Amino acid sequence: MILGRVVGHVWATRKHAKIARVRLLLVRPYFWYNPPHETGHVVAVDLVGAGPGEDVIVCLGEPARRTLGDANAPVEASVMAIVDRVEMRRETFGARGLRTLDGEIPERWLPPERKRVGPPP
Amino acid sequence: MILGEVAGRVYGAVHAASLRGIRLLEVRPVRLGGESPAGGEPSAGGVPSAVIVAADALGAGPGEHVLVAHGTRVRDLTLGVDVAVKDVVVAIVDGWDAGTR
Repeated sequence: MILGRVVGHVWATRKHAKIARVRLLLVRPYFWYNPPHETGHVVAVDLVGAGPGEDVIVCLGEPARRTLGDANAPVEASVMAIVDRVEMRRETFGARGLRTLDGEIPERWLPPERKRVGPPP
Repeated sequence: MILGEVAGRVYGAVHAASLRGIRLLEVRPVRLGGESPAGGEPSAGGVPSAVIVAADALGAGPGEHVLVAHGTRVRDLTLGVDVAVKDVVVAIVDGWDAGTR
């Protein structure tokens, strides 16, 4: 599964019969280790009702087919969850090589700075 | 699946027997600004320009945008197990919006 941000929708009328009535979302992954093609985006079927601007978890491969209830649908990416919150320490990012595709960590992922009360240690 | 623009067909007089009769398209992934990366141009955002050759059963033409799915299982479901490809066109896209960053 990968973490991404919904940036829009994709619509198509001419498509394989098994995906005739599914909604397709355009997702920009934050991290994607070893994608099949270097694209910077992924199109995933959406069954959870995610909208543009929301962070989502996209499932890849066989589980994505099963979310449609039909293991024979020709899809390999599906939105599994809408993310409420991500928490990440600043030192995990960057120093250990973890980088988003855009190179920037969203500020909202970082825990708020703790205010120190009293004299410094 | 990924979104791409059909650059053209891929022709060959000599190819593996399993590809006989399979329509192959050259697909270039779309950049989220809405433009396809042109060959040889340095791309913005660190996304390299890529070319994907995908099998097409829907009859997409040059200039049209398509969804390409990758994987042997997708190939089995759409073209059959004997075809030696891993990228398949599963939809011809009418449009998309990518206004939100």
